[in-house]
Amino acid sequence: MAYSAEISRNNPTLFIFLIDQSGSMADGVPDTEQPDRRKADALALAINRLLQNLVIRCAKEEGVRDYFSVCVVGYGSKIGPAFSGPLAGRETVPISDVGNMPARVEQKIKKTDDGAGGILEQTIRLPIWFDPVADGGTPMCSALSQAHSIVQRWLAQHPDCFPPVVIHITDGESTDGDPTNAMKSLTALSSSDGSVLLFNIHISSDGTAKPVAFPDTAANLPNQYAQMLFENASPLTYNMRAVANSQHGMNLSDGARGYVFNADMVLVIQALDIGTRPSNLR
Amino acid sequence: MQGVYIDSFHTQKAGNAAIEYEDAFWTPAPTARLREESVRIAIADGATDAIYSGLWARLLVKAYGKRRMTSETAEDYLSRAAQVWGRAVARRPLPWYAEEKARRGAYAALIGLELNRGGGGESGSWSALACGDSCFFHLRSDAVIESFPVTRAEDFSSTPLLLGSNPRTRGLEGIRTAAGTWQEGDCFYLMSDALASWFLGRCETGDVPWQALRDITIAKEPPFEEWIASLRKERAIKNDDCTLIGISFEHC
Repeated sequence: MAYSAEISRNNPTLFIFLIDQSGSMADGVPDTEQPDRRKADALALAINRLLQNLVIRCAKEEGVRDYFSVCVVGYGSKIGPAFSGPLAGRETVPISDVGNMPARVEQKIKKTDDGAGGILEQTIRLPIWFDPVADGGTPMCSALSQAHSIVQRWLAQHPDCFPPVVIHITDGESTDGDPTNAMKSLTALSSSDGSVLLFNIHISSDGTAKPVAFPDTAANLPNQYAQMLFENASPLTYNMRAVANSQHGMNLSDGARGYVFNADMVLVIQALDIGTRPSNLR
Repeated sequence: MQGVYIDSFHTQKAGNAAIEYEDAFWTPAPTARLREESVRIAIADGATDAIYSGLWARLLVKAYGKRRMTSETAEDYLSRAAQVWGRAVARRPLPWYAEEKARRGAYAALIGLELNRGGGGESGSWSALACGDSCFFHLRSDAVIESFPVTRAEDFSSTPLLLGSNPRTRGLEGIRTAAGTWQEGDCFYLMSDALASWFLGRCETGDVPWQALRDITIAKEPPFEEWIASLRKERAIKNDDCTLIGISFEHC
């Protein structure tokens, strides 16, 4: 059965985040409590918290277990690895190195219930790996081609891994051609456990259009571009649908695809969570 | 409690080091088995996705086995165990990810069984306390007469409520109790969830999985680790820490 490989230190998998850093990412996020926040800022916040959660998920008393490697590729005025700090320039990074080498760690005070009727003030450490960028065009085909090379190299070394998951986040149309073939070529790659999983997360430029999460049909999508992103997104695995339905209150059908249209940041964060929980860790 | 035979077996997940085993178990010392009129046996299964779960599991079986925790005293005992856990975790500075994960706390399933001998010596009563999906099975005359707290193999797929070190998610509401009587010739088995799920699944297909358990616990053949490895290879059980305790009043 596909998508059943155990994810372990002996058989890790790969997550690639392919992030649109084009000039339009400097536009505001519609409908938030912070109207001056740029899409690039909101997305950087979401990616940093996701990386934090991935590290925490793999943390045990002796350190961080390398169940995953992570790759963050940005595309805009340039295309390439998008980590800041000591990981700058590194392409595929084991999750233990991600945990131990953030660019910086910010702190904030969090007030919580102490469980005995009082309030506890705790200092929370917030690591930062990825800074917002919004500059240049949208060279989506080139970025997908780079992801293809990275996945190909990974699969040569990990032929039996749980298939790599590529989460592509964009707010606009490609400026270097139709990305259909590049997406098809990426999802044609496979391990012995199944084909590469591609998520297309289309983030919001429009506060009026209703977001659509993980549809099973392109029928209600408003344009050819949205339909293309839907058609090339992978069907969700059983476990991903289970996470979406049980933990995010969704009601997804078996045909649900890894496509999100006009997503606000809440939906982006949900989609990142669903996409990075392909199966249980061992 | 003379004449009680208790055999325990455990192994860690395939691919993990022995030190990474996060179940824990409690069996009475041989002297206690002779002197006491009741004995306590327990298994706890530390949650994989938490930190210092093995320590929390050890504290839970000790609270049940040594301190004689009951459902009425659980709140107090768990609070004390959580303090011990918190002090142990805070003993050295933690990196940011361990600090955050420790803040969320550790979790574990617990199954505890108390056996009491009756006046005649050849029968008695039992009581059990459980939270989560570690189980006990009571066998008599080649049949399972009690399965506690999980009764169907399909229920192992759900996310069980576990006992937590964090006061906000202690899990006391998940505690279940049961009680009954035993007689000479009966057997009890305690198991963590991977093995319990296999056991119930085989029972549901009309099989008699306790025959394999008798070979393991009495004849010690095949060795427990080898047997578990073969079940994993056949994909008959999930790859998880496995703990088994067999109890009988004569070798049945």
